[in-house]
Amino acid sequence: MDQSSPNSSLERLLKSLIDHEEEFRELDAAAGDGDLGITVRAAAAAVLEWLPQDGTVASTKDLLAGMAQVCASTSPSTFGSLVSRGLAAAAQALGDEPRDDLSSLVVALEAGIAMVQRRGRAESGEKTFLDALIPALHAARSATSVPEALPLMRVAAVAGTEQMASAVPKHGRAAWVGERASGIPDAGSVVVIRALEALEGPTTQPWDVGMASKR
Amino acid sequence: MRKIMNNPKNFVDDFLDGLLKAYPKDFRAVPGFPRALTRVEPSGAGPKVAIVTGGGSGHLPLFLGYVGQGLCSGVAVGNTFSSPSAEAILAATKASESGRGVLFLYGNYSGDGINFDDAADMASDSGIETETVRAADDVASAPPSASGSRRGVAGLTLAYKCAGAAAEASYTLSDTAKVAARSLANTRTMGVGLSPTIIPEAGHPTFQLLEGEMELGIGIHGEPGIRREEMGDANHIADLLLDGIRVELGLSASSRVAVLLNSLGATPEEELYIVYGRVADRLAAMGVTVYRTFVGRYATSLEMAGCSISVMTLDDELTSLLDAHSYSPLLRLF
Repeated sequence: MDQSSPNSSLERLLKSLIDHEEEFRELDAAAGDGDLGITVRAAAAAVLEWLPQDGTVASTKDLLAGMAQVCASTSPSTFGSLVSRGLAAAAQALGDEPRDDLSSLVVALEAGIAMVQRRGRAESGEKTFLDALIPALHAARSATSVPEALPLMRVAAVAGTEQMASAVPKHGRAAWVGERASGIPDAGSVVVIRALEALEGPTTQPWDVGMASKR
Repeated sequence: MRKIMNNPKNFVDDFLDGLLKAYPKDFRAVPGFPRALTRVEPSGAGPKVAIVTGGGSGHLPLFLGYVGQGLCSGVAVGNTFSSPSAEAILAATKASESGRGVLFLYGNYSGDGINFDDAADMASDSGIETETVRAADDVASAPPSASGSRRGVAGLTLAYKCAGAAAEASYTLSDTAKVAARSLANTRTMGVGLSPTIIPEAGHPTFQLLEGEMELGIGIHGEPGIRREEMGDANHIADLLLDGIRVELGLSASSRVAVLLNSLGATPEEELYIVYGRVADRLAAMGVTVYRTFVGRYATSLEMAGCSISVMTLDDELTSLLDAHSYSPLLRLF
């Protein structure tokens, strides 16, 4: 989203996700089966490898479509599959129409979220990563530029995730844990937060997960 | 972590490599798709409904061990405890089908559902007809009011056996799917975990249990169950598990059933037979006829200690399908 070097902010995001593997694993192990760290690390590493290293920059649409394919084949877990389908939908929605960066961001997020809702059969408020993504989208809509949007999106994603931390999840393996997952933030939402922090820049103060209870 | 492996990141590819070398007459990888395996069909085999299954690794003999004669035709293999990709499922589908359609038969997990559904769409674009049946036999994963959201565990293997026999007996795709669905509608499973499992790529136990504690209703990925309680003896465990499933099955003096007593990995057969002894006594006291018994490793969770009990009520058709011959090098007495 950084106009001067789109690939470098994406690379920063991917590296941050790889660095947070252990955090995702722990959160997911508390609620699901603990494979989210591996899934996210594997997908991020595969996308990093796939990114052109010669400085060439693909269109955002091609970048998203390519990332969708890499995610689908490397990390076809629930989370990986949903992210992949979301990225593909975002790419399709962007098409080749020229837009400013903020409109591109909003259009891509809208399409991606709609696809995740459809394929995951989930709505906001059910303790999934939609609770971070949907508030982030609302925040982006209220901004006038991408640099202004990013911190607003991060704050909104954190608020959405914190609000749902005490809830009982309804989807995925976390749903089976039921009330035991209460107090633990949704692992997928934390992935969204870490991604937004990385996009915003290295000076961002990382959110403290502060898990209420660890299994 | 005490595991015999090379690079943990290659855990799945390495075990697949060895397995294909061990049983070259039974399995082969689809060219260009190392995570898609099919049965080596005997020459001259006529067309039949192909059953394609798949899921995460870490459950052997589930899923790929059920590719064999009178069972499934193809399988897509995921990473440990993680869904296979839609492209691997599609590859297994194309390589397995012989013109009479393909039944997708797998466990009810969200990732698997997304990828199998996408593979079904792509297969349809290639002119291959598919039907889907998902196993949701684990009573501990959701209440009866939400039984459709339950996860699929060891009971799936009995559906493979019945649906596989139906496919072998030249049933149509629709009728094979009906057999699979009825097998599962008649089956309930409940398990207990005594020790955690370690995902090779992660290297950490997926959960912690205190000494002397057990997790009642555990899933085959170490998902927490209904509750934790003090470890009981074999009879107590047998009672808890059987009581968890018998009411929903409506077992009565006229019931004829198959029982599958499954080790979650580390629990030895001796312990399974101790549990089975109690289960058999309890069922006999209820007047239930046990027609077939399967005791062993059928759906595991790597090195987890614990077991699960699956009970399937049988009608005449399911009984004869269950009796049909089946073979896979990974199974015995099946």
